[in-house]
Amino acid sequence: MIYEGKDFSADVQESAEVVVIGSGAGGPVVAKELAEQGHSVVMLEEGPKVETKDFTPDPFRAFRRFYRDGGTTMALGRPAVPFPLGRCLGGTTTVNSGTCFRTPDKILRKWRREFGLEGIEPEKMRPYFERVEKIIDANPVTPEIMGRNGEIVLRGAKQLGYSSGPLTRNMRGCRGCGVCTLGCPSGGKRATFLNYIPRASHFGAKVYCDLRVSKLLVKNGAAVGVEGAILDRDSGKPRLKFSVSAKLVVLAAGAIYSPLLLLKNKLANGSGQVGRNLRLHPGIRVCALMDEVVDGWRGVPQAVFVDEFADEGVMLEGVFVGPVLTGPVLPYFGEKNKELMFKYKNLAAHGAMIFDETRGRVRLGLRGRPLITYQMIPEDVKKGVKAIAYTAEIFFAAGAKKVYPTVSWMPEMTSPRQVRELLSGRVKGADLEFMAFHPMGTCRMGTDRRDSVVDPYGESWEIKNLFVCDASIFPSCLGVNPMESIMAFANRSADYMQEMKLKG
Amino acid sequence: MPAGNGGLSPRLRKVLEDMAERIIPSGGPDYPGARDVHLADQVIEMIQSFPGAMRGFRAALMLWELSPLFLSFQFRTFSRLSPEGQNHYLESWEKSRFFFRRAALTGLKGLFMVRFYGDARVHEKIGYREGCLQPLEQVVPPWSPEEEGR
Repeated sequence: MIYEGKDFSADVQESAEVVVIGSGAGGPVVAKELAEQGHSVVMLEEGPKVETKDFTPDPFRAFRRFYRDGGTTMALGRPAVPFPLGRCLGGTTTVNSGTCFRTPDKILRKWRREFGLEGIEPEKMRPYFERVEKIIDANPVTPEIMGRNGEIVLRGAKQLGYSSGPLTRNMRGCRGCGVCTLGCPSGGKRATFLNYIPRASHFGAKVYCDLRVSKLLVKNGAAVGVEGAILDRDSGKPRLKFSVSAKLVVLAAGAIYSPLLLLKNKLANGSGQVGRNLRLHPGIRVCALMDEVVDGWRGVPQAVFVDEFADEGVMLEGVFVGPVLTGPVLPYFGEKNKELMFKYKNLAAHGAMIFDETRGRVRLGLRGRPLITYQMIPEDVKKGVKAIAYTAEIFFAAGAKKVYPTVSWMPEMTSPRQVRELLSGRVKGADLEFMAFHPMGTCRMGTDRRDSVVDPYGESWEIKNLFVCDASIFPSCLGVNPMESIMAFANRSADYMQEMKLKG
Repeated sequence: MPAGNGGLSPRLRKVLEDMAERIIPSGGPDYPGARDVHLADQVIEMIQSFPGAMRGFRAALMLWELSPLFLSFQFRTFSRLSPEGQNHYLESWEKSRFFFRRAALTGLKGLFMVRFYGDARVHEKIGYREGCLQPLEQVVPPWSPEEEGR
């Protein structure tokens, strides 16, 4: 059963074996797995309930309704890095590009080697990935829905002999509508509100929307429930109170709001690591003017990858977005910008993310809001420059007339020679425009309670029965989109909860 | 679609209209610009949809109006600059060595473009048509228990 804030006219008190905070990639997996085992589960979501019919192609309305703070979340630094976060049923899975990758074996081995994490070897994680992929319908992008933007990137990569291919996505019956980040209008992108949440609900989990948790209740060193407010949908202001008492509390509010809740409650931070080690996978975006008609908005916006440069810490994955979001990131203003936008049908766009070593931080800011800082280190800036250069090179190989690299002193490139100039030039972080979509690492797992927040199963070292099941727990960046990794690790944590905490 | 002035004085209204016109200039029937789609009204309407935001918006406009006095030493406020002068002033933001000035200009572009490029009349001119690559015959429903047997 899914309840909304408007369903209530009096304070709510609930009790369950498990309360899950957040309905993005991690929370619904725990809710479904434990509800299926017969446990009583309550899942809480701060944002509104959504259904496929609610989605609108108008970015302004979509960002306002389905994103936190209208999509304006930002990490402060030079450069500042905006990273929009979903805030609705299904969390960011409702508004992401739907790209699925297993955690690379290399990363799992690194975590074993550098952080001593056992039981996460590739062969041990494989069943979790397989289970998740079945439930979310992980399938590769097919030529029918790829669209010309993806075809152009693959053509350029092939011309240069770079390793590349179509991405795997959580999708079934995708029609290539091009608006994944505004909410899928076909139901083809299988966000958690279309798979895990209905399953959890079927097995008896209660799902509440429009509820903001403010307090984690702890008794004798163990989590025993949560308290918070039922929000007025329009104003966002607290309207009524609610509380849930539970044996297990699962924090799955994402890598910004999970640590924030711990910081607000002054909990689980004996290591001093809560909110630290923030990684973002900062991404760049490059546009290109082609002779051919691209109609880039038709087809899967993030359809292909180029992983040729993964060893250099660069993964090329692009998103083509609608005109509202394209205009501001193209160079110039006035006539020159308008002229470019009136060639929108001939524009292609692709991007790349870097495997960041920078460590940002989430702090408790004014009025309980997060203060996020991320000062990019020079090594990561260099990766950003490479990411731009490789993407530009691919576009030129595919026949681009001009390339727009989002470098402040090089608004456009007219020949591949400028790619080399860029690579050999002195570029500062503040010369580039980054965006990010994958915050992680702020409640990292580890084997030593002195330098990690949770143990290898996501349980707090300090507060018994308090689990973190989202991207916060990853001890380094993944180098790939994190959704499937979050789900697989959440599934693993749910199995642990079932075996060690709830059985019998 | 006049939305009223949202409490903007005629002077601030002119600042907003001038900014819109510099960022997306009007020109010719095939290339609509800010004036052709009443962009200033659309922006006011958008800001008004955020409760309490109009006050901060008025303050920001006033700050912008006064900013040439202390950022470019032109001894004229923004609305009193000629169109060329306004363009030069915006250019100084675009080419600034300070990241935050360049980022602010990107934000300004976003403020106006979110309405301009969201306008159906502009979509028609740039050839953008919402729609899917494959026909959207029916929506794929959420999981249901019956699905397990498929």
